[in-house]
Amino acid sequence: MSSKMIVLMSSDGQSFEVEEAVAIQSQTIAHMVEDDCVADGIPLANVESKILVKVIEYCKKYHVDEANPISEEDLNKWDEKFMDLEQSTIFELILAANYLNIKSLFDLTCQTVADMIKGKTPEEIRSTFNIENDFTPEEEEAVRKENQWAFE
Amino acid sequence: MIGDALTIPSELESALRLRTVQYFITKRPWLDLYGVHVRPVPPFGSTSRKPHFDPALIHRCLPDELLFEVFARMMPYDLGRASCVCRKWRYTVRNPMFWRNACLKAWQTAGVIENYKILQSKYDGSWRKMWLLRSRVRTDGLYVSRNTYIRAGIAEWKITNPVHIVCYYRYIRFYPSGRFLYKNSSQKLKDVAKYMNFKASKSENLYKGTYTLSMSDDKIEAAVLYPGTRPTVLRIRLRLRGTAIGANNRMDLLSLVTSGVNDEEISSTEEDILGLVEGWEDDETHNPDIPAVSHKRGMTAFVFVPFEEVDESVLNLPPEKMDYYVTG
Repeated sequence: MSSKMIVLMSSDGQSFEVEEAVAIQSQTIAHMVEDDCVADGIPLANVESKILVKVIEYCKKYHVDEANPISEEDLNKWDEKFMDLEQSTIFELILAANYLNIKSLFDLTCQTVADMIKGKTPEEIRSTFNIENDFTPEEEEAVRKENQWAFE
Repeated sequence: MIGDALTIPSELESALRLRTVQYFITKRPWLDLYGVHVRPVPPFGSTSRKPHFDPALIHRCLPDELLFEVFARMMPYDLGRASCVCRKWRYTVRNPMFWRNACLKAWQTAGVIENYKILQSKYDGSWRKMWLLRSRVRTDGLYVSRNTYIRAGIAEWKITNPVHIVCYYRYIRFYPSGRFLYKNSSQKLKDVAKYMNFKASKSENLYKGTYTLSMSDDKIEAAVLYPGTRPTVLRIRLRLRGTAIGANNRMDLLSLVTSGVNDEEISSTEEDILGLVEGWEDDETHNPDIPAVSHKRGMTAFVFVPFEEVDESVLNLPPEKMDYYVTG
Protein backbone atom coordinates (compact mmCIF):
# COMPACT_ATOMS: atom_id res chain seq x y z
CA MET A 1 0.00 0.00 0.00
CA SER A 2 1.58 3.25 -1.05
CA SER A 3 1.48 5.98 1.54
CA LYS A 4 1.83 9.51 0.41
CA MET A 5 4.65 11.38 2.12
CA ILE A 6 4.74 15.05 3.05
CA VAL A 7 7.74 17.16 3.90
CA LEU A 8 7.53 19.40 6.97
CA MET A 9 10.11 22.15 7.37
CA SER A 10 10.90 23.55 10.81
CA SER A 11 11.66 27.20 11.47
CA ASP A 12 15.39 26.45 11.71
CA GLY A 13 15.53 24.88 8.27
CA GLN A 14 15.34 21.15 9.00
CA SER A 15 13.14 18.89 6.87
CA PHE A 16 11.13 15.94 8.06
CA GLU A 17 9.39 13.43 5.84
CA VAL A 18 6.13 12.19 7.29
CA GLU A 19 3.27 10.01 6.04
CA GLU A 20 0.35 12.18 4.98
CA ALA A 21 -2.07 10.12 7.08
CA VAL A 22 0.04 10.82 10.17
CA ALA A 23 0.53 14.51 9.41
CA ILE A 24 -3.12 15.34 8.85
CA GLN A 25 -3.84 14.78 12.52
CA SER A 26 -2.87 18.43 12.47
CA GLN A 27 -5.94 20.30 11.24
CA THR A 28 -3.69 23.06 9.95
CA ILE A 29 -1.77 20.64 7.75
CA ALA A 30 -4.97 18.84 6.74
CA HIS A 31 -6.39 22.09 5.38
CA MET A 32 -3.23 22.77 3.44
CA VAL A 33 -3.38 19.27 1.93
CA GLU A 34 -6.98 19.90 0.92
CA ASP A 35 -6.00 23.19 -0.65
CA ASP A 36 -3.27 21.27 -2.43
CA CYS A 37 -0.36 23.53 -1.58
CA VAL A 38 2.03 20.97 -0.19
CA ALA A 39 4.08 20.19 -3.26
CA ASP A 40 7.28 21.86 -2.08
CA GLY A 41 6.88 20.87 1.54
CA ILE A 42 5.15 22.75 4.32
CA PRO A 43 7.12 25.48 6.07
CA LEU A 44 6.28 25.73 9.76
CA ALA A 45 7.66 29.10 10.73
CA ASN A 46 6.51 28.81 14.32
CA VAL A 47 7.90 25.39 15.14
CA GLU A 48 11.52 24.64 15.93
CA SER A 49 13.02 21.31 14.88
CA LYS A 50 13.46 20.15 18.48
CA ILE A 51 9.72 20.55 19.04
CA LEU A 52 8.67 19.29 15.61
CA VAL A 53 10.48 16.04 16.35
CA LYS A 54 8.30 15.55 19.43
CA VAL A 55 5.13 16.47 17.57
CA ILE A 56 5.88 13.95 14.84
CA GLU A 57 6.65 11.30 17.48
CA TYR A 58 3.24 11.97 19.04
CA CYS A 59 1.36 11.87 15.75
CA LYS A 60 3.03 8.63 14.73
CA LYS A 61 2.01 6.98 18.01
CA TYR A 62 -1.53 8.22 17.74
CA HIS A 63 -1.97 7.12 14.16
CA VAL A 64 -3.96 4.09 15.30
CA ASP A 65 -5.52 1.73 12.82
CA GLU A 66 -6.17 -2.00 12.41
CA ALA A 67 -2.52 -2.62 11.59
CA ASN A 68 -1.47 -0.81 14.75
CA PRO A 69 -3.97 -1.34 17.56
CA ILE A 70 -3.14 0.07 21.01
CA SER A 71 -5.21 0.01 24.19
CA GLU A 72 -6.18 3.25 25.89
CA GLU A 73 -4.31 2.23 29.00
CA ASP A 74 -1.09 1.75 27.06
CA LEU A 75 -1.59 5.13 25.40
CA ASN A 76 -2.02 6.81 28.77
CA LYS A 77 1.18 5.26 30.06
CA TRP A 78 2.98 6.34 26.91
CA ASP A 79 1.58 9.88 27.31
CA GLU A 80 3.04 10.09 30.79
CA LYS A 81 6.49 9.11 29.60
CA PHE A 82 6.19 11.36 26.58
CA MET A 83 5.38 14.38 28.74
CA ASP A 84 8.30 13.86 31.09
CA LEU A 85 9.98 16.95 29.73
CA GLU A 86 11.46 20.27 30.80
CA GLN A 87 9.02 23.10 31.39
CA SER A 88 10.28 25.07 28.38
CA THR A 89 9.67 22.10 26.08
CA ILE A 90 6.17 21.59 27.46
CA PHE A 91 5.25 25.24 26.87
CA GLU A 92 6.68 25.11 23.35
CA LEU A 93 4.61 21.97 22.73
CA ILE A 94 1.47 23.80 23.83
CA LEU A 95 2.23 26.57 21.36
CA ALA A 96 2.99 24.08 18.57
CA ALA A 97 -0.14 22.00 19.21
CA ASN A 98 -2.16 25.21 19.16
CA TYR A 99 -0.56 26.45 15.94
CA LEU A 100 -0.81 23.06 14.22
CA ASN A 101 -4.30 22.52 15.66
CA ILE A 102 -3.79 19.01 17.02
CA LYS A 103 -6.55 18.78 19.60
CA SER A 104 -5.47 15.68 21.50
CA LEU A 105 -1.88 16.91 21.87
CA PHE A 106 -3.16 20.33 22.94
CA ASP A 107 -5.38 18.73 25.60
CA LEU A 108 -2.53 16.54 26.81
CA THR A 109 -0.02 19.37 27.11
CA CYS A 110 -2.44 21.79 28.80
CA GLN A 111 -3.60 19.08 31.18
CA THR A 112 0.02 18.32 32.06
CA VAL A 113 0.58 21.91 33.14
CA ALA A 114 -2.77 21.96 34.97
CA ASP A 115 -1.65 18.85 36.86
CA MET A 116 1.57 20.62 37.81
CA ILE A 117 -0.56 23.31 39.48
CA LYS A 118 -3.09 20.93 41.04
CA GLY A 119 -2.90 20.39 44.77
CA LYS A 120 -0.13 22.91 45.37
CA THR A 121 -0.19 25.90 47.69
CA PRO A 122 0.42 29.33 46.14
CA GLU A 123 3.99 29.34 47.46
CA GLU A 124 4.66 25.94 45.91
CA ILE A 125 3.17 27.08 42.60
CA ARG A 126 5.38 30.18 42.58
CA SER A 127 8.43 28.10 43.22
CA THR A 128 7.56 25.55 40.53
CA PHE A 129 7.11 28.20 37.86
CA ASN A 130 9.50 30.84 39.19
CA ILE A 131 6.66 33.36 39.46
CA GLU A 132 7.22 36.62 41.28
CA ASN A 133 4.79 37.52 44.03
CA ASP A 134 3.77 41.00 42.96
CA PHE A 135 0.98 41.49 45.47
CA THR A 136 1.30 44.22 48.06
CA PRO A 137 0.79 42.83 51.59
CA GLU A 138 -2.72 44.31 51.63
CA GLU A 139 -3.59 42.75 48.27
CA GLU A 140 -2.21 39.40 49.35
CA GLU A 141 -4.34 39.40 52.45
CA ALA A 142 -7.41 40.42 50.48
CA VAL A 143 -7.03 37.76 47.81
CA ARG A 144 -6.33 35.11 50.43
CA LYS A 145 -9.47 36.09 52.28
CA GLU A 146 -11.67 36.00 49.23
CA ASN A 147 -10.36 32.53 48.39
CA GLN A 148 -10.25 31.11 51.91
CA TRP A 149 -12.76 28.44 50.91
CA ALA A 150 -10.16 26.87 48.59
CA PHE A 151 -7.91 26.21 51.58
CA GLU A 152 -10.51 24.69 53.91
CA MET B 1 0.69 82.82 48.85
CA ILE B 2 -2.47 80.83 49.04
CA GLY B 3 -4.34 83.94 50.13
CA ASP B 4 -3.30 85.74 46.90
CA ALA B 5 -4.36 82.85 44.72
CA LEU B 6 -7.79 82.78 46.24
CA THR B 7 -8.68 86.36 45.34
CA ILE B 8 -9.94 85.65 41.88
CA PRO B 9 -10.06 88.57 39.41
CA SER B 10 -13.51 89.49 38.12
CA GLU B 11 -12.87 88.33 34.57
CA LEU B 12 -12.44 84.87 35.95
CA GLU B 13 -15.75 84.96 37.79
CA SER B 14 -17.45 83.33 34.88
CA ALA B 15 -14.81 80.69 34.97
CA LEU B 16 -15.83 80.00 38.53
CA ARG B 17 -18.82 78.27 37.10
CA LEU B 18 -16.46 75.87 35.42
CA ARG B 19 -14.58 73.32 37.47
CA THR B 20 -11.38 74.35 35.70
CA VAL B 21 -11.00 77.25 38.10
CA GLN B 22 -9.17 74.80 40.30
CA TYR B 23 -6.17 75.14 38.07
CA PHE B 24 -5.84 78.76 39.05
CA ILE B 25 -5.58 77.91 42.69
CA THR B 26 -2.22 76.63 43.68
CA LYS B 27 -2.31 73.13 44.95
CA ARG B 28 0.66 70.96 45.64
CA PRO B 29 -0.62 67.46 46.46
CA TRP B 30 2.73 65.92 45.67
CA LEU B 31 4.09 67.48 48.80
CA ASP B 32 2.25 64.78 50.71
CA LEU B 33 4.34 62.11 49.03
CA TYR B 34 7.63 63.33 50.36
CA GLY B 35 8.97 60.96 52.94
CA VAL B 36 6.58 58.18 51.95
CA HIS B 37 8.02 55.27 50.04
CA VAL B 38 5.78 54.64 47.07
CA ARG B 39 6.42 51.45 45.10
CA PRO B 40 6.45 52.38 41.43
CA VAL B 41 4.02 49.69 40.34
CA PRO B 42 1.92 50.59 37.32
CA PRO B 43 -1.71 49.47 37.37
CA PHE B 44 -2.34 46.07 35.86
CA GLY B 45 -2.86 46.16 32.13
CA SER B 46 -1.34 49.59 31.75
CA THR B 47 0.51 50.01 28.49
CA SER B 48 2.97 52.39 30.04
CA ARG B 49 4.51 49.54 31.97
CA LYS B 50 8.28 49.55 31.76
CA PRO B 51 9.59 46.52 29.92
CA HIS B 52 10.00 44.33 32.98
CA PHE B 53 11.61 40.95 32.61
CA ASP B 54 9.19 38.40 34.03
CA PRO B 55 11.25 35.64 35.59
CA ALA B 56 8.46 33.13 35.04
CA LEU B 57 9.01 31.11 31.87
CA ILE B 58 5.34 30.27 31.74
CA HIS B 59 4.43 33.94 31.34
CA ARG B 60 7.10 34.61 28.73
CA CYS B 61 6.07 31.58 26.64
CA LEU B 62 2.32 31.38 26.87
CA PRO B 63 -0.03 34.11 25.68
CA ASP B 64 -3.01 34.84 27.92
CA GLU B 65 -5.48 32.75 25.97
CA LEU B 66 -3.31 29.64 26.37
CA LEU B 67 -2.86 30.27 30.09
CA PHE B 68 -6.65 30.39 30.14
CA GLU B 69 -6.75 26.96 28.48
CA VAL B 70 -4.51 25.53 31.19
CA PHE B 71 -6.72 26.99 33.92
CA ALA B 72 -9.81 25.63 32.18
CA ARG B 73 -8.55 22.13 32.93
CA MET B 74 -8.23 22.72 36.68
CA MET B 75 -10.71 22.09 39.48
CA PRO B 76 -12.34 25.09 41.20
CA TYR B 77 -10.30 24.55 44.37
CA ASP B 78 -7.08 24.72 42.40
CA LEU B 79 -8.36 27.90 40.72
CA GLY B 80 -9.01 29.47 44.10
CA ARG B 81 -5.46 28.75 45.19
CA ALA B 82 -4.05 29.83 41.82
CA SER B 83 -5.75 33.18 42.39
CA CYS B 84 -3.33 33.83 45.25
CA VAL B 85 -0.17 33.35 43.21
CA CYS B 86 0.28 36.70 41.48
CA ARG B 87 -1.71 39.59 39.99
CA LYS B 88 -1.81 38.10 36.50
CA TRP B 89 -3.26 34.84 37.77
CA ARG B 90 -5.73 36.60 40.03
CA TYR B 91 -6.95 38.57 37.03
CA THR B 92 -7.13 35.49 34.78
CA VAL B 93 -9.05 33.41 37.33
CA ARG B 94 -11.68 36.15 37.64
CA ASN B 95 -12.98 35.17 34.19
CA PRO B 96 -16.61 34.15 34.69
CA MET B 97 -16.24 31.23 32.25
CA PHE B 98 -14.47 29.16 34.89
CA TRP B 99 -17.08 29.82 37.53
CA ARG B 100 -19.93 29.26 35.13
CA ASN B 101 -18.58 25.80 34.27
CA ALA B 102 -17.91 25.01 37.92
CA CYS B 103 -21.43 26.07 38.92
CA LEU B 104 -23.19 24.21 36.11
CA LYS B 105 -21.30 21.06 37.03
CA ALA B 106 -21.87 21.36 40.79
CA TRP B 107 -25.59 22.04 40.51
CA GLN B 108 -26.20 19.95 37.41
CA THR B 109 -29.29 18.26 38.86
CA ALA B 110 -31.13 21.57 38.73
CA GLY B 111 -30.55 21.86 34.99
CA VAL B 112 -28.97 24.66 32.97
CA ILE B 113 -32.07 26.83 32.57
CA GLU B 114 -32.95 26.72 36.24
CA ASN B 115 -29.40 27.60 37.19
CA TYR B 116 -29.42 30.63 34.86
CA LYS B 117 -32.67 31.77 36.43
CA ILE B 118 -31.22 31.48 39.92
CA LEU B 119 -28.10 33.30 38.72
CA GLN B 120 -30.15 36.34 37.73
CA SER B 121 -32.59 36.37 40.59
CA LYS B 122 -30.28 35.65 43.52
CA TYR B 123 -26.69 36.34 42.57
CA ASP B 124 -26.75 39.48 40.39
CA GLY B 125 -25.56 37.55 37.35
CA SER B 126 -22.27 36.66 38.98
CA TRP B 127 -21.30 33.00 38.73
CA ARG B 128 -18.52 33.53 41.22
CA LYS B 129 -21.01 34.85 43.76
CA MET B 130 -23.16 31.78 43.22
CA TRP B 131 -20.17 29.52 43.73
CA LEU B 132 -19.35 31.24 47.04
CA LEU B 133 -22.77 31.80 48.51
CA ARG B 134 -24.98 28.97 47.36
CA SER B 135 -24.95 25.75 49.40
CA ARG B 136 -23.12 23.05 47.55
CA VAL B 137 -22.18 19.46 48.36
CA ARG B 138 -18.54 18.76 47.80
CA THR B 139 -17.78 15.79 45.60
CA ASP B 140 -13.99 15.82 45.79
CA GLY B 141 -13.73 13.85 49.02
CA LEU B 142 -15.71 12.27 51.86
CA TYR B 143 -17.88 13.66 54.63
CA VAL B 144 -17.08 11.83 57.86
CA SER B 145 -18.99 11.76 61.13
CA ARG B 146 -17.03 10.36 64.04
CA ASN B 147 -19.05 8.94 66.90
CA THR B 148 -17.94 7.36 70.11
CA TYR B 149 -19.60 5.53 72.88
CA ILE B 150 -18.37 3.78 75.94
CA ARG B 151 -18.82 0.08 76.30
CA ALA B 152 -18.35 -1.62 79.57
CA GLY B 153 -15.73 -4.35 79.35
CA ILE B 154 -15.92 -7.73 80.96
CA ALA B 155 -14.54 -7.63 84.46
CA GLU B 156 -11.83 -10.28 84.50
CA TRP B 157 -9.31 -11.03 87.19
CA LYS B 158 -10.59 -8.20 89.30
CA ILE B 159 -9.56 -5.50 86.87
CA THR B 160 -11.78 -2.76 88.07
CA ASN B 161 -14.37 -1.35 85.68
CA PRO B 162 -12.69 -1.83 82.34
CA VAL B 163 -14.26 0.38 79.73
CA HIS B 164 -13.69 0.56 76.04
CA ILE B 165 -14.17 3.62 73.93
CA VAL B 166 -15.77 2.42 70.77
CA CYS B 167 -15.32 4.62 67.76
CA TYR B 168 -17.40 4.28 64.63
CA TYR B 169 -17.79 6.45 61.59
CA ARG B 170 -20.47 7.39 59.14
CA TYR B 171 -19.04 7.99 55.67
CA ILE B 172 -20.84 9.76 52.87
CA ARG B 173 -19.56 10.31 49.37
CA PHE B 174 -21.72 12.52 47.15
CA TYR B 175 -21.78 12.46 43.36
CA PRO B 176 -22.94 15.45 41.28
CA SER B 177 -25.54 13.26 39.56
CA GLY B 178 -27.71 13.02 42.67
CA ARG B 179 -26.45 9.64 43.87
CA PHE B 180 -24.39 9.00 46.94
CA LEU B 181 -22.67 6.20 48.83
CA TYR B 182 -23.08 5.57 52.54
CA LYS B 183 -21.13 3.44 54.98
CA ASN B 184 -21.32 3.01 58.71
CA SER B 185 -18.26 1.26 60.11
CA SER B 186 -15.41 1.33 62.58
CA GLN B 187 -12.88 1.13 59.75
CA LYS B 188 -10.51 4.02 59.41
CA LEU B 189 -10.89 6.76 56.83
CA LYS B 190 -7.78 5.94 54.83
CA ASP B 191 -8.95 2.36 54.33
CA VAL B 192 -12.55 3.19 53.53
CA ALA B 193 -11.62 5.92 51.06
CA LYS B 194 -9.93 3.36 48.83
CA TYR B 195 -13.08 1.47 47.95
CA MET B 196 -15.76 4.07 48.42
CA ASN B 197 -16.86 4.14 44.79
CA PHE B 198 -19.43 2.50 42.56
CA LYS B 199 -17.01 -0.15 41.37
CA ALA B 200 -16.63 -1.63 44.84
CA SER B 201 -17.79 -5.15 45.48
CA LYS B 202 -20.97 -5.86 47.36
CA SER B 203 -19.13 -7.38 50.30
CA GLU B 204 -17.82 -3.99 51.38
CA ASN B 205 -21.09 -3.04 53.07
CA LEU B 206 -21.45 0.05 50.99
CA TYR B 207 -24.95 1.34 50.43
CA LYS B 208 -26.24 3.42 47.56
CA GLY B 209 -28.81 6.13 47.75
CA THR B 210 -30.08 9.31 46.19
CA TYR B 211 -30.21 12.83 47.59
CA THR B 212 -31.46 16.29 46.79
CA LEU B 213 -30.10 19.63 47.85
CA SER B 214 -32.71 22.29 48.38
CA MET B 215 -32.66 25.16 45.81
CA SER B 216 -33.33 27.79 48.38
CA ASP B 217 -31.41 26.84 51.52
CA ASP B 218 -28.80 24.53 52.95
CA LYS B 219 -30.85 21.37 53.57
CA ILE B 220 -30.15 17.96 52.10
CA GLU B 221 -32.66 15.11 51.97
CA ALA B 222 -31.17 11.71 51.34
CA ALA B 223 -32.34 8.12 51.38
CA VAL B 224 -30.50 4.81 51.41
CA LEU B 225 -31.92 1.37 50.89
CA TYR B 226 -30.79 -1.54 53.03
CA PRO B 227 -31.86 -4.44 50.83
CA GLY B 228 -32.48 -7.96 52.04
CA THR B 229 -35.36 -10.04 53.32
CA ARG B 230 -36.61 -7.19 55.51
CA PRO B 231 -35.75 -4.18 53.41
CA THR B 232 -35.31 -0.94 55.30
CA VAL B 233 -34.96 2.62 54.15
CA LEU B 234 -32.70 5.02 55.98
CA ARG B 235 -33.85 8.61 55.60
CA ILE B 236 -31.22 11.22 56.37
CA ARG B 237 -31.72 14.96 56.76
CA LEU B 238 -28.62 17.12 56.75
CA ARG B 239 -27.73 20.79 56.86
CA LEU B 240 -24.68 22.11 55.02
CA ARG B 241 -22.44 24.75 56.48
CA GLY B 242 -18.75 25.64 56.43
CA THR B 243 -15.80 27.06 58.29
CA ALA B 244 -15.43 29.75 55.63
CA ILE B 245 -17.74 31.26 53.02
CA GLY B 246 -18.03 28.77 50.22
CA ALA B 247 -16.14 26.03 52.06
CA ASN B 248 -19.19 23.74 52.54
CA ASN B 249 -17.04 21.44 54.61
CA ARG B 250 -19.43 20.66 57.49
CA MET B 251 -22.81 18.96 57.68
CA ASP B 252 -25.09 18.74 60.68
CA LEU B 253 -27.13 15.58 61.03
CA LEU B 254 -30.67 16.77 61.63
CA SER B 255 -32.48 13.46 61.60
CA LEU B 256 -31.90 9.79 60.93
CA VAL B 257 -34.98 7.60 60.49
CA THR B 258 -35.19 3.95 59.54
CA SER B 259 -38.47 2.61 58.23
CA GLY B 260 -39.68 -0.52 56.55
CA VAL B 261 -40.59 -0.68 52.89
CA ASN B 262 -42.55 -3.38 51.21
CA ASP B 263 -41.19 -5.51 48.39
CA GLU B 264 -43.46 -4.21 45.64
CA GLU B 265 -42.33 -0.68 46.20
CA ILE B 266 -38.70 -1.66 45.89
CA SER B 267 -38.96 -3.53 42.66
CA SER B 268 -40.67 -0.61 41.00
CA THR B 269 -38.28 2.00 42.34
CA GLU B 270 -34.94 0.95 40.84
CA GLU B 271 -32.43 3.64 41.78
CA ASP B 272 -34.33 6.60 43.10
CA ILE B 273 -34.87 5.64 46.72
CA LEU B 274 -35.46 9.24 47.70
CA GLY B 275 -38.24 9.57 45.18
CA LEU B 276 -39.93 6.63 46.86
CA VAL B 277 -39.88 8.01 50.39
CA GLU B 278 -40.19 11.71 49.69
CA GLY B 279 -43.22 13.01 51.47
CA TRP B 280 -43.35 10.23 54.02
CA GLU B 281 -44.18 11.30 57.53
CA ASP B 282 -41.46 10.96 60.11
CA ASP B 283 -43.11 7.99 61.72
CA GLU B 284 -44.33 6.40 58.53
CA THR B 285 -43.42 2.87 57.62
CA HIS B 286 -44.68 0.64 54.87
CA ASN B 287 -43.89 -2.58 56.57
CA PRO B 288 -45.76 -3.06 59.84
CA ASP B 289 -43.07 -5.46 61.05
CA ILE B 290 -40.46 -2.71 60.87
CA PRO B 291 -41.53 0.36 62.81
CA ALA B 292 -40.12 3.78 61.96
CA VAL B 293 -37.30 4.55 64.33
CA SER B 294 -35.78 7.97 64.70
CA HIS B 295 -32.20 7.56 65.87
CA LYS B 296 -30.81 9.90 68.47
CA ARG B 297 -27.33 8.51 68.99
CA GLY B 298 -24.31 8.89 66.78
CA MET B 299 -25.41 12.26 65.49
CA THR B 300 -22.05 14.01 65.43
CA ALA B 301 -21.60 16.56 62.66
CA PHE B 302 -19.82 15.56 59.48
CA VAL B 303 -16.44 16.94 58.53
CA PHE B 304 -15.31 17.07 54.92
CA VAL B 305 -11.96 15.52 54.00
CA PRO B 306 -10.70 15.98 50.42
CA PHE B 307 -9.25 12.87 48.77
CA GLU B 308 -5.70 14.17 48.81
CA GLU B 309 -5.85 14.65 52.59
CA VAL B 310 -7.40 11.29 53.39
CA ASP B 311 -4.20 9.56 54.43
CA GLU B 312 -2.88 12.30 56.74
CA SER B 313 -6.20 13.26 58.30
CA VAL B 314 -6.42 13.32 62.11
CA LEU B 315 -9.57 11.26 61.79
CA ASN B 316 -7.36 8.21 61.27
CA LEU B 317 -6.02 8.40 64.81
CA PRO B 318 -7.35 5.97 67.41
CA PRO B 319 -9.59 7.44 70.13
CA GLU B 320 -6.82 7.69 72.73
CA LYS B 321 -4.66 9.80 70.46
CA MET B 322 -7.34 12.19 69.32
CA ASP B 323 -7.87 15.42 71.16
CA TYR B 324 -11.43 16.39 71.70
CA TYR B 325 -12.33 16.91 68.09
CA VAL B 326 -14.09 20.17 67.54
CA THR B 327 -16.11 20.11 64.40
CA GLY B 328 -16.30 23.88 64.21
